[in-house]
Amino acid sequence: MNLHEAADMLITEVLIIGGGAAGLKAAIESSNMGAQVVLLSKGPLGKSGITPLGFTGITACIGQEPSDSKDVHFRDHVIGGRFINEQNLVEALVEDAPRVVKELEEYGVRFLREKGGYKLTKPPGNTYPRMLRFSGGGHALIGALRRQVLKRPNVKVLEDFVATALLIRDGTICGALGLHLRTGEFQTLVAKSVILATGGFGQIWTLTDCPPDSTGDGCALAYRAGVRLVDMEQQLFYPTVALSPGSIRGLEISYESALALGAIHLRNTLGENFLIEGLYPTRDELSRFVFKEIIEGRGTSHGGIFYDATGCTEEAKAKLKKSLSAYKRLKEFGIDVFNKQIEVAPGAHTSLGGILINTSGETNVPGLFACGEVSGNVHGANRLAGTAYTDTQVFGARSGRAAAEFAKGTGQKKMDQDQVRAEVARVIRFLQTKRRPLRPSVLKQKIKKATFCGLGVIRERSSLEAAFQKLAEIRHEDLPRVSVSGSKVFNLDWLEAIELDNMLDVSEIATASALYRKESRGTHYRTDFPHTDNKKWLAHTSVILRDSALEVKSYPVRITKLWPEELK
Amino acid sequence: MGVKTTCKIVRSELGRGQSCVQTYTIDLEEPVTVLMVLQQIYETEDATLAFRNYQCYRGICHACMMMINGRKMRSCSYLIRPGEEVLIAPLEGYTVIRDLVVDFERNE
Repeated sequence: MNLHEAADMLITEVLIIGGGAAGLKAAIESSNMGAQVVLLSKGPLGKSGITPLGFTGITACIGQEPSDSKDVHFRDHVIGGRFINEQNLVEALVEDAPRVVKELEEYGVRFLREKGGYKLTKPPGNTYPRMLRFSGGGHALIGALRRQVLKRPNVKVLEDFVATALLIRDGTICGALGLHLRTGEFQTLVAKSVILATGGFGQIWTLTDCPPDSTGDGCALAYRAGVRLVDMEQQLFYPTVALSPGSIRGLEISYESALALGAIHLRNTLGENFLIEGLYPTRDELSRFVFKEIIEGRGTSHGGIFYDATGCTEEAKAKLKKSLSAYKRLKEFGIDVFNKQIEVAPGAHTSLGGILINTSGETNVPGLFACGEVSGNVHGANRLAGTAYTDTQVFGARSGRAAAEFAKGTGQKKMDQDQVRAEVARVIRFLQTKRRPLRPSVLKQKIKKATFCGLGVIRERSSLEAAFQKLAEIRHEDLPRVSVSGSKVFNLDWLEAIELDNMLDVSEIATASALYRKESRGTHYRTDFPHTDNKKWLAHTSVILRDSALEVKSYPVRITKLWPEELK
Repeated sequence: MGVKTTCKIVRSELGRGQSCVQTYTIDLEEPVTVLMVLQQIYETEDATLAFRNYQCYRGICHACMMMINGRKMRSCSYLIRPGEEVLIAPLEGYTVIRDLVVDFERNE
């Protein structure tokens, strides 16, 4: 390939990388401000990313519940995040939440109503009912956002396009480089401002309810470009993800509504219901309870426990059939949740850590913004149910406006051709023939095995160090042997090689961060430091690439209003 | 030991002439989805097979739609039984990019 092909160029004002709920909202807002927008999506819009899998709820204090207020919402979110979410970001989240809900309704999302008001439910960790429910789940939500984006003439969408590098010149962003999967050709995108909205990295774990494309691309691209990442050890596991049979593996079987109805028991292989009666645990807590059963030898041969709804009353059954979104899917495979216990285990669900942002979604690199799951300091050490969409919409909107504003105040950027050449070479290296070649999919499995052993729900120093060692071996011994062949057009193996590079970076960063945080907090639980240490660790772990090496540090969390009880 | 199961896959590349049918034989022990079969072929038999390896786990996104035995089906939901013969082709009515990958924005 010659450089002319490599440098095929598209010029825009705002470049958005990621076509999920956050990226689409950002596109709508940038476009509303009159900016020319290009949006890149790794797959077809609405048929890729994490949003289509999402649940049917979004939390916002809309003023319907008389006792609820934005202050209480703020308090719940900070306590839910175990005090390491940036409180100014939480203030922004609860402040804008009612407005973004209203906008979603204007886009055509159908919110459920009852008794003249909105139907509100109360997931664990919320003082009052404040989760609005809508029909069709994430798939319907992204459909509505997509329609808004497609009718805007100043937004150009490129599907089946994977971004491979952020382009930086003189310390500011000037665009990105990527690969058109449909042609196998590279394209540079020159932009005045760039928004990363690529989602999380659930795929670095063995069991996950995140789709195959959540490979941490945004975090890895940002890290390589000198962007600061925070709290990368904080990964939320959903406690009850289907394990077996293979046809339903990865399906989230929600426990919240079922437990509230008293419709389920969680059983180990001894048949014991190991959950304390009356307990309504948040996801981080329940994942730990479940994982404990598994590692103490009371789990199934696949490494799971049983989700048991067989003793459910007829009344609860009728309610659960409506609220359990997995019910229909299980039925498609002939599995009746009321007749058969389902094998489940904690699966990687949401990456809480990610790119450090401020209330406008700005990162430490001028002109680069981030929003949604790729960002890092909104949810802290645990995310309450229903806040993922709120996050995507609030910070998608804020990033979209701020990026358009930034673009107005800056001239046309020029990219660094040497960087483009180097980045093209980095991606093309996979097409070279190698001695003893390895498939990228084989190495992805190796990474998952390493993180499962060290970076799971329960952690400790020696297993984390072993995982880090294993990842280093993969990087130095296996990665140079990765070779892909065949047509450049929609070459899945090539895409997987690109993702593999990203997964490896992100796995190392998460493991290093987990080693660094010497306490237990939220989703990060270490047996060698089992307590939360608010004296030393009311802090972020922070990662940056410095002199080609990973540097981990910590720095205090920004607290504007609410301190943990013991520090008041 | 599983039962030999035959998958015939219609393969082509945009702008590169006629499509062809390639036959793969795999061992199956239990009924599995077409999407899982494609993943198995891609991972163990043929690295060059192109399909949309995405799954929403709920059967709602329709990213994996294709023609299975002549009918429009979600490959994440259609189960193949061990020993069954199955013909898999790209979704009709859309421009084929390669093999089983179509452009959902472009109708033929």
